[in-house]
Amino acid sequence: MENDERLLRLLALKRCEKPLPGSLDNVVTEFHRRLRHEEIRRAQSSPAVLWSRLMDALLVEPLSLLRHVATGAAVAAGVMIGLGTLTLQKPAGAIPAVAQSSLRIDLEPSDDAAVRALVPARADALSLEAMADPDLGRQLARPLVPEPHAMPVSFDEANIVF
Amino acid sequence: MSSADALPSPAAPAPDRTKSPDPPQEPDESLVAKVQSGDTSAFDQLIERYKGRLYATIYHMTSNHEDAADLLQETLIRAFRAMPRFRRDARFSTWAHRIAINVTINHLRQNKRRATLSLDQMEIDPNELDSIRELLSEQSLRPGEDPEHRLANLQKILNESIQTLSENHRAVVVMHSVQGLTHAQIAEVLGVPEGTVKTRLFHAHRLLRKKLARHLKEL
Repeated sequence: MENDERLLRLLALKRCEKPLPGSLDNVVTEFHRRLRHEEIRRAQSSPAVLWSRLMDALLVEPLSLLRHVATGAAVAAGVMIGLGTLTLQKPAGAIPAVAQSSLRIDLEPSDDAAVRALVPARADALSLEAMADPDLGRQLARPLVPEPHAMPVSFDEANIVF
Repeated sequence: MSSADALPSPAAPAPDRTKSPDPPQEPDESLVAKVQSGDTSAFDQLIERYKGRLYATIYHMTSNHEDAADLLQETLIRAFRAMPRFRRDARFSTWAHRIAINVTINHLRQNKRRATLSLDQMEIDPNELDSIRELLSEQSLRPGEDPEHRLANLQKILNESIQTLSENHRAVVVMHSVQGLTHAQIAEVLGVPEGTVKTRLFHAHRLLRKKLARHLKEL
């Protein structure tokens, strides 16, 4: 006898097993008892209702739930791909809008001290750079002349008002 | 004790428990329609009709009568709750079995960490003993060994082997090799393609043959 056939005959023995005596006698009664108990429990606890519905969906209609999840995932993937495509369409060397602005800040010579007070570390660094590089030192030492179309600028301590 | 007491298979007709001829049974579809229109007593009839088969399916997967009784109740409650959403294009029995399988698989996964198995002592239907003895050849029995004792041992080993299968493999083995469902019926119950059922069954049988190799040779 081949092992396959032996295995099938062995498995078929399980058909001869029987439930414990009386174990199926009160199934309906027990069903109604549990149903009543669960209804009371559900009425008392709303999170349990949500959980039970989720479990119902998982255990009773898993394919339906799977379809909903798959649809949601497909929509989310579509949105992500759409956003990704829009991002990729931007030119690689694009300059940020702020950097493209024609706005310029021109400082009065008297403002130099105020700028240094606002950014002391940078100012010190510039001084050191100026000491090391005579050209840079000369540029920094040159008085700043306002351009004709420059917007007026005023400094009010930490608040810059245009 | 009669053969009608043995755990019925879903493919087999419901056992005839009465001496007098049964009145014609109300079709499942009619009972389902009644339940969906609010007649809960119709669900009681469906329970009576399918409790044995559902219990058998659950029991063969868990090998534990207490768990089987508990999971049968959970199955019935979930089925009752889901009745308003049950579409009548499927058979009630198939749908109820799907719920039973899902509830059982969920239970088995939740209890996977249990180190010990709770295998019940099996009771064998005496009417089936003759056919069972056929399985046990004379050579398989040790001198002086009682065939029934030998059978009980075999069943214990068989159930332990089934318990080591994954939930999905166990479900197809129980439905096909124990309960006699066809591949198509199992596919319908599990909601998977027939090819998946065949693949799972092939792997499950291979695993069982490996585990039971020594005992199969003795048969």
